[in-house]
Amino acid sequence: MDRRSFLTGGNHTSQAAGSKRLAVAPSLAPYSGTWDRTTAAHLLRRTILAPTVQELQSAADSSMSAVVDQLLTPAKNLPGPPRFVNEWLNASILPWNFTGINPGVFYNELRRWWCGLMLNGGISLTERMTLFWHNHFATNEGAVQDGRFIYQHNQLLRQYSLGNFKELVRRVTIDKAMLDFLDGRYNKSDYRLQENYARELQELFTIGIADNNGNPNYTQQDVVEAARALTGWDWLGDHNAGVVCNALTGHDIKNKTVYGKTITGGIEGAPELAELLNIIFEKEETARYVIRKLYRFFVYTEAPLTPVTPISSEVEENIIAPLATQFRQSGWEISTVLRTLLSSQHFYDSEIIAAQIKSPVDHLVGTARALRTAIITGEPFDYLMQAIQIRATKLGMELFAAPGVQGWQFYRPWISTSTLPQRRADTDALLDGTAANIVDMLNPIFTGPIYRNGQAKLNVLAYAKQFASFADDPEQLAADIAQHLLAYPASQKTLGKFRDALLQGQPAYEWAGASEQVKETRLRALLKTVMRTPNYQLM
Amino acid sequence: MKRRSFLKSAAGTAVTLPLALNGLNFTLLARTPQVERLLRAAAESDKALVIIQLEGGNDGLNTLIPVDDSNYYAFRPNIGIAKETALPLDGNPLLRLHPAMSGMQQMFNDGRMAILDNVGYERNSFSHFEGTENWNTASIADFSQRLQTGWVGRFLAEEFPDYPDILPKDPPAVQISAAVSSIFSSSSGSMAISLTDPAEFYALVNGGPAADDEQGPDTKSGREFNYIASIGNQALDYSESIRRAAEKATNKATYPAESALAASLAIIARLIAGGLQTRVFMVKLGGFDTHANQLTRQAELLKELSEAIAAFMQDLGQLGILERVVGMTYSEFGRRVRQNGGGTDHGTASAHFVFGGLVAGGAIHGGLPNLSDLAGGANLKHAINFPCYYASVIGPLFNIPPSKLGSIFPLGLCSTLIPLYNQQPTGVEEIPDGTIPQQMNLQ
Repeated sequence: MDRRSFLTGGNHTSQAAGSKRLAVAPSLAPYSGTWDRTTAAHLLRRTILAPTVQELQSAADSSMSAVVDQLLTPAKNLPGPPRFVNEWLNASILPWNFTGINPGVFYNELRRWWCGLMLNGGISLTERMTLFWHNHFATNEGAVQDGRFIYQHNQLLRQYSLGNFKELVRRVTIDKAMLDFLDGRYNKSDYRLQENYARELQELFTIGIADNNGNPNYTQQDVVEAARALTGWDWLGDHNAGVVCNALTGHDIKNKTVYGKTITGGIEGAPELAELLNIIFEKEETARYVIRKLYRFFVYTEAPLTPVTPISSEVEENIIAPLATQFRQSGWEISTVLRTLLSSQHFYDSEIIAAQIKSPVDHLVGTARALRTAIITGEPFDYLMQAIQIRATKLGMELFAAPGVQGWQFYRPWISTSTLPQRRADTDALLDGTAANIVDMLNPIFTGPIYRNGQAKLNVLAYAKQFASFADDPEQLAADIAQHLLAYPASQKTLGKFRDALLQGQPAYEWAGASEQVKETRLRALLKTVMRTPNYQLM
Repeated sequence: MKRRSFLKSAAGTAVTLPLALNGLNFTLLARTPQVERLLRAAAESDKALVIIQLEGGNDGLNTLIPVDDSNYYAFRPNIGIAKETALPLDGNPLLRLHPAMSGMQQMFNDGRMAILDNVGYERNSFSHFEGTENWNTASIADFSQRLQTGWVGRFLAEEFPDYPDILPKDPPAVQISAAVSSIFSSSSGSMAISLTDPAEFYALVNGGPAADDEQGPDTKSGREFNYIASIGNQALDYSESIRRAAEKATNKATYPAESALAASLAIIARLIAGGLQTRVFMVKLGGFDTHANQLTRQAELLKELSEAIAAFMQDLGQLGILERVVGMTYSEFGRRVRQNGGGTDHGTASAHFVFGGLVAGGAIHGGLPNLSDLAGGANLKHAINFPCYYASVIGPLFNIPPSKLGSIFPLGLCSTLIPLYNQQPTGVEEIPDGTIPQQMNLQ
């Protein structure tokens, strides 16, 4: 079947007809249809935000399995943390609560760094999955006392982003940022029992509050007993020390019973944590819960009236259940189930394509990523990332600061009468150029803060020159750019608007002879028009 | 715009209706949908409800403190609030307010604020997420009966049955936020728009593209496309009325600086004073999940809450709209009776506040918390079913007939509404027996 012709044709009636043809029962069987720009773009948009023109071309020229292999290879040689983070981490001369450190400045620097990893990262799922886990194990820098914990937590998520889920849960449980954020370090035996982490470990991180039919997965008593098994983890006030857990640090040494199974109490906490996780991970629901979340992140979610709408039984039976089985059988290897999911027939169903709403980070970093023609570094990088991280925050997605323990509410809540006009203004600003102000704290002891400001601006001319049509076919250029940037194809009418924005009433044959300055202005008008469409909010 | 002018003229012709209908029995008139629609349009009202969500689960016991109950201090040796520091409430010697809430103490003693204590429900959830959804949807049953739409959404869908096909001239609900809460969701989508700043909202919307009349197909992606296009069109439709209302009025009171809650309430006061006929406004204050360091953290939050509301009320008074606005708080749960060291774990019932010029203030409903009879030995039993609280606020305020209250709160509320207002408005007396699935005794 020629998927490309109907998807790029921009005729929604034919798309609807096409999707009816394709609407078979969702299947995890390997996709065996045509591999082309449409399928390659779909895979890349869902995994690396937005492919560059080159990335899309080489993926389309390659094969699905080769691209999926590449995506599942952890990113290498990522740029290290900002200099300030390094100094703070390594230099013992700086106490963790050194008063010269402005947390806002520190976290802004971290946000620029992370957005940069997403922007410049190649064809790898590392950053996408780091973001997934950041949302899954949500923390907030405002409620964690030491900024280094936040950085180390983020690195832990990155290290295990494509690794072993069970081991990731174990490490997150005793990670300092999490022990601080969900009060695990205050969780001590007897009258100082803190249920906070034990509840979220089950409700949000592993088994979920209820199955897809609404049957509860655990009781309040299970929360209390799990909290008892988790008592005592602490760093005893020394921020540079590792965590410990034993009877002296407040561990409850009596037996505990979770899901009807006994955890033998002892002096040391580590064996009980392992046993608790064994009990939780024995449950079928644990695999299903996490697979559902991966499914909603990478594939699709029904637009819910409220966030508690269950997944359709068709998807639950044909996708979630078998993938959950594979997850367990693999020993909880994340890359195994991602490979199956991203290679499945269901993932490439035409109804799935363009059916997701971009998050603010997808929208903003994706815009910069799609248009870039080379790795962005130096000052332009700093200002661009600053503009992006500030705007993502305004759109409701402040990295390192999820709004609650359950993370961000993805999907439709991202788009509101407040955020949609803001999103359009954001892409306008990145195309026209926008001021960005940065405060550096390279070494707060010796130099104090340094202020600098510059402009964040995307290079539209370099971007457009990648298309052969740039030379002398502006109408085709508008169509090529729309095809590159839009997962949801533009209708003929919308394509007409794009052409009008580019030509500005001038005849097409005059394009080739226009100055670069004129071309740049017109390209900005075209790209603004493209990015203001509802189509552009979808991926 | 066509859609708007239709409603405008409908409202115009019905101007005399409310006077003519005043005092008549609502349930009789409400028989034909047409009359009802006119009533609604006519009632297009000058009343506004402002909902403040306390995110994280506010600890009611340290908000409204049972200062003469020795059990309270026994359960909370470290975080119990001493009687001497708590703020006394006129006529209620057994309960005092948190020391940081002097503004709200004043409102109570001035008769402009009522307190409802021990508000909760039987099948409480200790989950933030599920608890919030339960309170947003007014679901008091277990998961299988959970309602999929928000209670405010259901109320507004009754008021504006053709929304969003026919848009009233002003938005039915406004949330001062980047996103809208599920409290507003109805079977025809969210009944609320969101904005963070009226002037910026107008500038952004009008710097953007014109209305989009393109329709996507009924496919997964087509439905998302249509959703985004409709949000864009709503923003266009309402940016002008929001701007006009915001520019028409100026805040008269001084609001506390550095408080997002206060800034949001200032915007709401301006919009109402400027004539925006929006029924329901909403703002959030987060951070109430005080598992640790509760004394410091809750004090900061309650101070912000109290000062922001006090400034808001003062502003409403000076703007001459105190009699038109009612405010209320809610939170996903209260907290555990016994302290866990420096804080409290998730609990059940809690204390909430209703304020405004119409409110019969100075009263505490729901009685004292009973610390010698705890559910499961650890949690407060509720005295007021929370949907009853909701219904008692909106029923009289918006003249909602009992039958409608029954359909807005299909899982039950209470046999008699709590008397929160100085004058019980027309048409709402007792809810007839048999229409309410779950009976419940108050106080």
